Amino acid sequence: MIPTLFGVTILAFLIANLIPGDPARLQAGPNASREVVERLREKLGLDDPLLIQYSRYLSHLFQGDLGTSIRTRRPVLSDLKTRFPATFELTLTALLFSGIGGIILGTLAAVKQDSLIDHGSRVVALAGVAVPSFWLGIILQLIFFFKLRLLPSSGRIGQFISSPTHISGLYVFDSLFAGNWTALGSSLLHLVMPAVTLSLGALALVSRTVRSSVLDVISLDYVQTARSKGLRERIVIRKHVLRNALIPVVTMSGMTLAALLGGTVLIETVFTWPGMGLYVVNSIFALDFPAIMGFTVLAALIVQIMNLFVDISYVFLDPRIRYG
Amino acid sequence: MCRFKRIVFLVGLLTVSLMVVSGGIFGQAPMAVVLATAQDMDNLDPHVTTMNSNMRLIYLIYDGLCQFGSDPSTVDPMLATSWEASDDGLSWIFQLRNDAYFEDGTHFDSAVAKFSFERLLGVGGGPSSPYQVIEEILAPEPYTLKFILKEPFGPFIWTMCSVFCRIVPPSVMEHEEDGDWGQAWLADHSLGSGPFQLKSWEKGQRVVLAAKKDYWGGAPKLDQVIVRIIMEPATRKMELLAGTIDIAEDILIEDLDELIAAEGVEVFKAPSFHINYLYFDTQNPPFDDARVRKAVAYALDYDALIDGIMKGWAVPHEGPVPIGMWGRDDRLDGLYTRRLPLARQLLAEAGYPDGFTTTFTLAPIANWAQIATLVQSYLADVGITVKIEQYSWPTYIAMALGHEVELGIIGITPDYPDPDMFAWMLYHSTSELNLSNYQSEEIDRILDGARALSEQDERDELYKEFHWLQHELVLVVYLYQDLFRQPMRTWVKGYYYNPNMQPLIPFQDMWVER
Repeated sequence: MIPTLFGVTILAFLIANLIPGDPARLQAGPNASREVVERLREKLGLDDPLLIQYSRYLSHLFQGDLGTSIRTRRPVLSDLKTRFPATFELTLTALLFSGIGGIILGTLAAVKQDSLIDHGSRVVALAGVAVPSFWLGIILQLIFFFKLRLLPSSGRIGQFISSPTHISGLYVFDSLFAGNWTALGSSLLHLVMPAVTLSLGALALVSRTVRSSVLDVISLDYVQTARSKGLRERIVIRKHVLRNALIPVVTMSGMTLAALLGGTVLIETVFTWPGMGLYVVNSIFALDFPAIMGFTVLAALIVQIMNLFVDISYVFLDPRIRYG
Repeated sequence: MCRFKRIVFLVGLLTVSLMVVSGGIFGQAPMAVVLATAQDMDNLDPHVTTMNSNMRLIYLIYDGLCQFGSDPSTVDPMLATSWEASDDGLSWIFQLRNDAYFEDGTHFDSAVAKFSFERLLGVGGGPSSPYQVIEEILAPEPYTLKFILKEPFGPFIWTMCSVFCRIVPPSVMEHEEDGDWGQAWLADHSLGSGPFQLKSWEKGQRVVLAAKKDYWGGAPKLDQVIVRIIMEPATRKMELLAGTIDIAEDILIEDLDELIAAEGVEVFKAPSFHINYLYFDTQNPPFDDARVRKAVAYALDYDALIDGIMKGWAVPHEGPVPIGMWGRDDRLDGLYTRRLPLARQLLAEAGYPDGFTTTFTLAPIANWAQIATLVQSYLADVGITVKIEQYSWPTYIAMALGHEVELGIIGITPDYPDPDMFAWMLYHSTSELNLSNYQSEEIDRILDGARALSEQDERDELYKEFHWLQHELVLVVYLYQDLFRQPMRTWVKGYYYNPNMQPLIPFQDMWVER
């Protein structure tokens, strides 16, 4: 895990610094005088050789310091802490939507193979992969906000509603905890469209994997035995088929999370969801190296931790797997 | 099917319940104006940021010594009640008001103003650029402030209206960390003497400013100003049409007609000071020859460009100073029009009878790609082959400032409304923004001379002389001057526009009649 993260920092640092451009100039503005830009460059430590800049970054990183954002002038860690809960809330909801939706759709498609449901699920899967999420987001806004006035177009909470008292930063949890029903209702409504849009691609992937996995398992001998014992079909599917068929889904969940995290960059822009994705987009436009690096390192860390959890979860799902 | 209906019913019931408990999908409106913009705010320190999105809020939170009112030709008092320059233009004395207070109770006086300018220069960020001319700041009396300048600087009083030099009290130093002049703290706090103060800020989502009822200039009519970030232009348009926001920024030109036709929406239209032009690498062939640059100027169809790309939301202009500002000679407008035989003749005289190949470099900004395509087709008519290369903005601006662009495009809005901003900044040999990189002692002499004078009539003459010089040399080709457009609901009242303060919105004088 540590070497991977180390490699990520090198790659991210190189890519960020190889982009031609001058963060000091961007920060000072195009009309600023040469002297002002030079002073700012010196102050930001941008005139040092790359190796020195990188080793300084690493030594700070080991102390939990991700540097100071060139754009916001605040510590990157504190910026990311502010933004992380929004992204976490969105990604978690999308993961739930895609996980639950994908398993239901995939199982139904397999159990009722070649039926209308199966064909329908194939269409959903194809659309989930083929339809660009930004386009889908705007179409959903047009239908559910502009035409039907059922859901808000963007943001995390109503524009005249105060955010719930900060506990976790997850609006749904915080408003529920505080009994703030107004904030709860508003934040749930705001969550629907971005989460659905974000989850569609992953839902397609999960549903197709579940379908083929269930089809593999459903014809095995032990399933026939379960049926011949007189168990109801629903019980057979839930207790005997799904438990084994879901192992590939769990394997996929690490990758799914990575895809969802990547997807937030686009979805947060379309729905102006104030998370890390929107933060990194703005940072890229400002060539804010410390912020771009901070986001990359954190995203890599999250995916690594998720993969670790996936490995551990095998033990509970498959009794044959044991770690020495 | 029965179960499906039950699920649909439950989802519907849940949605309605959520909408009821959350007071509709937006909540209940106070006396507020909601502005939607694509530009995220990231720093509210007036001495640090040069971004429009931040300056819009700083303008409402902090006061300056002077300000722009509704008349673009005058400087209005603010924290200063009057001012006077010495005959040699080297010292400026400001008389200050005595009834202004900051959010933390600090009383405004000359010591506070002195500190604020020292902080502006000490922080040394982008906003400090126009003030590098200050040699010394003195506070001889409690309500008298004096500036000693290094050299006479004609536009000085105009720079005092800029948001860059808004007054920050010394109490900000209570939050200083590692000699940062309190920058880290002030980035997301407010400590001004202006009509509004920061109420809440959910980063990347919205900023709420609350009106100060005890503001020395009189309480604003609005209770709140809410700035919402909505990244997608299509969403901003939808929200404005739906009436859930009051003012929308950065609406696509293609969508303006729909908004004009919509009930309850109006689009405010006025000439802006934003100009757009092509620049050349004048140090290397082929654009080191004025005849080649002139051929480009005669090859373009300006009216077609304005109609086709800007849909009429621009006017043609010639010369470094925008229409509506003094210091320009209006007789030059329209002298460059599409005259292909003349363009070809100029190219032949310059030794390029069969044209040449060049590269048009740009960034993915506004309609630059469309302009580049049109310029490519116009120049093909005189034998010039144009290759188009697009880079991200950071890369592009680095290339432009590094003089690595053969043929490029740029747009500029003034930091202070004075011909000096457009002439000295864009043409002086020592200026960073001299993108064409033309080095001329004659130009420097005229521009330095105009900068050193304080009489507007004398300066006006020099800028007009320069205007003709640029026309002959064609160091840049002016494409058009934007028309400012501000779509808003008709229930928003009290709005006025001054091209000097674009993109600032005078919320302190506005109200809503729903």
